[in-house]
Amino acid sequence: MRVDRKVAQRTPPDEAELSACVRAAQQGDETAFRTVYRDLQPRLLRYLRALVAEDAEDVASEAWLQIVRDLPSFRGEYDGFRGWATTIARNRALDHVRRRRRRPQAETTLDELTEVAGEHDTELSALSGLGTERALKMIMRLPRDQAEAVLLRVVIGLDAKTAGQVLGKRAGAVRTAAYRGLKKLAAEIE
Amino acid sequence: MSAKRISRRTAEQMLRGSSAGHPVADLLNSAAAHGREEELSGETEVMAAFQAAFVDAPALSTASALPAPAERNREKPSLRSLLAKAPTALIAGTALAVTAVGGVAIAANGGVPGQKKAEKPKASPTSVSPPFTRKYAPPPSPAPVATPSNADLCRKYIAQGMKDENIAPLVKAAGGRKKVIAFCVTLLGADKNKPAGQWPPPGWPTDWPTTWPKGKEWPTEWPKELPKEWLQPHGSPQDRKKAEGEASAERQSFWPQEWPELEFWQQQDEDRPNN
Repeated sequence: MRVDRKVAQRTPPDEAELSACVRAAQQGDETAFRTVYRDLQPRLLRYLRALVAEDAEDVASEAWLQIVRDLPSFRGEYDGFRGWATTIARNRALDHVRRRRRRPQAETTLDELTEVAGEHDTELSALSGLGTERALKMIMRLPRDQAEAVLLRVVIGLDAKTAGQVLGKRAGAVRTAAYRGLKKLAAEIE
Repeated sequence: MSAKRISRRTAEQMLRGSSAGHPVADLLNSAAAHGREEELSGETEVMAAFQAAFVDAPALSTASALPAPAERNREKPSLRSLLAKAPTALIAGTALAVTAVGGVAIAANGGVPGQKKAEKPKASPTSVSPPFTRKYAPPPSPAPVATPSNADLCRKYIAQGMKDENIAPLVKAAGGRKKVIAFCVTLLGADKNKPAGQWPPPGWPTDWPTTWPKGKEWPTEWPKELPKEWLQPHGSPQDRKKAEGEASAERQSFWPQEWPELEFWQQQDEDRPNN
């Protein structure tokens, strides 16, 4: 799987180390697996919230159960592992949506979002003043294909090709969806 | 920079995290900020599941822990419910997590997105699992199961041709579509109803190999695929008849001389009351 150079810059610099962690986890190393989990779980959780809202934690648990089960069958480096795990999480989320027959509703207005940010969010993004929660909720208000494209690229850290594989789309379609999403975000911010 | 004016190039830079100063870029950076402790609340349970799967507790093996598909539709499987069935695994996992907390602080260890440094996958005092301890079977290898269903499927496949979706069990049993014919030859070669005489052909394996040499075609002289027309003739009755005639001729061209005539298998089918 191709590594996006810029994405690699966004992700932690120890990508190779995380790849080694995946390999070690496949052989039963718990410490390595914990490292992988701590890197990936927050990303998955944020992405899943766009798909299943408040049920994200439950779906993430299901996904990790399958990840643990299928871990020995995975082949590849860490960027590939992210895409693989995200695909599992997305499938579990879609199963969940089918079961519940409902989709998460983004009822929050932009005005309400400006009041959401807590103190810890402000600490996390002092540069912009936009908290993580607020940023995520703004992204989640986009049309679902755009929100997914943005979240996969930005939060999970996938390149367009890998994100396309997760979504079952071409890389170009993912780029276009993400581009439209950013334009909408820009319009809302302005 | 106007927030509304975002070129594709700028957008791509933002998505890659290499653009700062734009309000949208700042928003994206906020969305991809460091993981927080509350986002790792399920860590203990996941680690316990990992330990149960890789180290011990056969009772929590995935085969027994995961509910059947029908059951899965009724009840969403959760780590909590699974772990409730294996208290020893939960205790062990919890103990691991507790001991790990002493040396691992989420905010400081660099294990969440954006952090500088991650733990190295070295064995530590908290890591009690020796490598390669997971109790799972080796990858399934194609093996002949001389069940009537497979044998019957083989006969139908060879004698009549079958739709793709109907040969899925054979493809699975053979280890691939291209090996279906070879699989059937081996399987039927051991059939008690096999015809008298040289059967299977001299030198033909009597068992489906349990370990298939990677990349090796076996057997090389055997056709790899059946003609498509043979599997599913389309068109009008006249076209189908024509196609069947052509397919039959093509089939004969593929047919080893040692193989019994098709009528034999058709007769077998007719003689079987359940077929």
